[in-house]
Amino acid sequence: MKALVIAEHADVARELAGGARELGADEVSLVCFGGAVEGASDKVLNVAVPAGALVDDAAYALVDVANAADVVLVEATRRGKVIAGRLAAKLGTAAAGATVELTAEGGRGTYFGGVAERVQKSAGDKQVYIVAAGVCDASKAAGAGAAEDVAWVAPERAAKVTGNVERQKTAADPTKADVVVSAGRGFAAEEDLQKARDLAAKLGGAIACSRPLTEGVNWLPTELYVGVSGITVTPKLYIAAGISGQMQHMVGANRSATVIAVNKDKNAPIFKQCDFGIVGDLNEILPALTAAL
Amino acid sequence: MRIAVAFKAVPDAQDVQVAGDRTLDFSKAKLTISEYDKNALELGAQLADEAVAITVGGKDIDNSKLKKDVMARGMGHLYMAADDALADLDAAATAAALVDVLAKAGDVDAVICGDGSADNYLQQVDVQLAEKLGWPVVTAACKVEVNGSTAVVTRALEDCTEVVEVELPAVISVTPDVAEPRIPGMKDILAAGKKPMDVAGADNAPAAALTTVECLAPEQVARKQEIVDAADDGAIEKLAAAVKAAL
Amino acid sequence: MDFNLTDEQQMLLESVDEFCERYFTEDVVKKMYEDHGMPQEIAEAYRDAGFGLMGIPEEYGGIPMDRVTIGLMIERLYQKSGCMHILYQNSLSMFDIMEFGTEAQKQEAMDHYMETGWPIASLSISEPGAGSDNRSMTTVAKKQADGTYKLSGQKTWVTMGEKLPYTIVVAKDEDPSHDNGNMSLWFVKMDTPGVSTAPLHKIGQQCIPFCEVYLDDVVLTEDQRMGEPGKGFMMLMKNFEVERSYIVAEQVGLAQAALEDAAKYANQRIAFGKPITRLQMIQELLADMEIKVQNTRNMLYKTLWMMDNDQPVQLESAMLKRYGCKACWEVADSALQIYAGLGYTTEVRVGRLWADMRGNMFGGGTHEVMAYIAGRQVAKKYAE
Repeated sequence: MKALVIAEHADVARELAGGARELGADEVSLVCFGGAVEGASDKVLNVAVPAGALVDDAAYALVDVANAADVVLVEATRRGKVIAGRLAAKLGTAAAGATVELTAEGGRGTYFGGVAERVQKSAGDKQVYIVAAGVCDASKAAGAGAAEDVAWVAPERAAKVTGNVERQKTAADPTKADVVVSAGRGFAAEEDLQKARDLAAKLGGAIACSRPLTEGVNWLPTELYVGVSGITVTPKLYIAAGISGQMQHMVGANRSATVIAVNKDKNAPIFKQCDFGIVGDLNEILPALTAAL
Repeated sequence: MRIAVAFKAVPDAQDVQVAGDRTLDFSKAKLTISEYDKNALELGAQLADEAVAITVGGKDIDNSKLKKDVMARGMGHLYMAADDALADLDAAATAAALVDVLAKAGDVDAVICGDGSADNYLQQVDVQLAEKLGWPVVTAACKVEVNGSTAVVTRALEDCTEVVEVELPAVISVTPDVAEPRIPGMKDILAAGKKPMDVAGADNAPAAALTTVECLAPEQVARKQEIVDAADDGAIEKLAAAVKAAL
Repeated sequence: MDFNLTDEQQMLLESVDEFCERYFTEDVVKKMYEDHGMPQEIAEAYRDAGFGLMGIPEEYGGIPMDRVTIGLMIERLYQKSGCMHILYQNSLSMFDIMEFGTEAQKQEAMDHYMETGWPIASLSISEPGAGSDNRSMTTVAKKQADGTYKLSGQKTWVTMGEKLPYTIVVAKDEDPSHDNGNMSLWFVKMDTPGVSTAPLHKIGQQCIPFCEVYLDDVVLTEDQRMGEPGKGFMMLMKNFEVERSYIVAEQVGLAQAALEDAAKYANQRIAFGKPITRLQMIQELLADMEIKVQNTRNMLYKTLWMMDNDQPVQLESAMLKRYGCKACWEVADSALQIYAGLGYTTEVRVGRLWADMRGNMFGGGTHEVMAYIAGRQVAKKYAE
């Protein structure tokens, strides 16, 4: 069985390559648009994206490789999803989501914002999965990594990139942290977020947030937003401060080993989903906790 | 400029019940416009001289209130395929059915899609639709400006913000902050039912590309749920102890 | 009988929900009670959604609407915002202007509303010595030799009197004595010489302040009169019936909010090892609260429906005001009881709702006066 792995981040590429092995792939080809990935796959495909071209359009260069593969695993990024969708269309199928788990049964993803989890696979013999970071096991990745160049194929009507601003990642990555201090609507003013940052700093953790703090008010960047349409975190400790505990948020957090909640509303659903909860004003509790640690 | 906005009618997630065997029960859930499609409708209404709404789904989406709700959001015409052969489609099948509907809607300069549907949230219909139409697709658009036959789109990607120029016609899918959905006003609501709406059955029954193996509510993670009040004696000490125990 | 709402009514209510969710956040409401006002953006959004135009004639840019639908809108607006803001209350003066005003007054009122989002005028009706007993009113407008009029007197409990540019004054024609029943309505600009105000401090409804209005030899011209001379109070009374009903719509919306809060709290609150909803005394409270809310709502819809169908509602509107405002306040009172000590703090909103709703037991007519109006009608109804 042959697998094609497409990713934008080297660490996720490695995970997907491990996932491909677990699905039983004996030949794994890998494309990564974000740095070299060595010793993780049998082949490493180099797709040089021409200046001004969209990474998304790399799909057209990969059609032949995808056609030769039995399974295509694509990292769940915005560009990855375009590549996955185009390849799936070329292969006569649709991409299935594997945002929770990937097995030979199919991809497990959230459904209705986490109300359910659904396992889907292609009805045909070619599988395309959109795989989230953290789903597959990088330790299973192996291979000589024979390099192979793949020629760029421009689409008939290509869009052009005219500007690109790297997002300054000022904060630690919550998907990789042992402790995540997550801020929600309970924060009434932007400057109060410092209290969450101070606590995270004390614990050597990262800060994250629920949707209201990134959409609309823009207090925190989108990459820190935990939830069904954001990131999924799996820390040892998740501290939900001023977060009510809506399901759309909790699906991104409920694989944390321990959940601690701080909320002034004792009826907030978060208190049913936490290991330890404290009812009160986060503006007083967070600094007191930081001081007590 | 004429724009088609593709939207999806979904059961209102708040009314979806989980049965004892963890299956989902939609019987009490009313159909509603998928939340993020409201942002797409708003952008379409703002950009277009004439904005039309397109959708496909089961027979039940031919629902008078749902249709008026779409029309009250600045749409000039609705083209809908409502047929049980079009219920619960995957992205490939949805895109195929949308191509048929779009053929009836006439020429458009762009199709705008929302960020992702409330049920699947896989962000695939936009891409599949573009492939079938042979059009470029630009996703994750948080800002869209149209200059003549070109759209300048700002994409909010994971690691960067990318500005893209795309010749129209194209499929553009938007993030929720591209435009705040209007609150349909009383005049919009009263006018909605009088606007033209074309509802038809399926021209073709698209084949399913995906098989659903299982769809169940997740098992609840058992949490200890030890709750204290901040005003209680020793509450902060207990909190600090809980934090230390977790590390 | 059909109790179903139309598509349009359901959509209207969904828009009201969205409006309230977007604008009446907890912090905003808290600030409104501290600052005795409402943010400008809320007034504008309410206008833009067309809610404030409902019931105003189309030729002035309004949206003609049946009273049942307006009542549904008001009820939901107050239920979901959970506070007694000005939005609906002050539309009442717009209705009076549209009903009795001159062409120039109507146009000015609409232009002002479309420009600012705020109604143009407050209503100056009550006096320190005359509320429902309108004959005891002593404010008077006397014609002068030069054809102008001189207005003198004192008005009180004028809601938003200090904030809006005009006030509509009801005053006796020529003679302030008890025997004179001839009154006229006057459209008076607040910055006219002789008009002054003094604030009054409320125990509830702090975001809709009221004040006293002093009228000292205010010079008026004939074009400031609204409607027919001598018929001022009769005209106002014509609108009282629908206004009473809308006050009840506001009250039942707030009662629904208090009921929901209390029932949710009762489900959570543990006493004697179980949620207090398992205690029969609490169950009785909840059952009676629901009965009162549903009764009021049914009476309200029926009364509005009768008005829409041109049926007289002198009896029904008075019964509705008397029963509904009190029963709904009792719902808030029971809600406070369920919250007990917590309800008596400012940590939760139930106490605020309770104080706000108490005011509607006399605003728009005391329920004693309602009994007087209804009682006479009942006697007449069954007279042989």
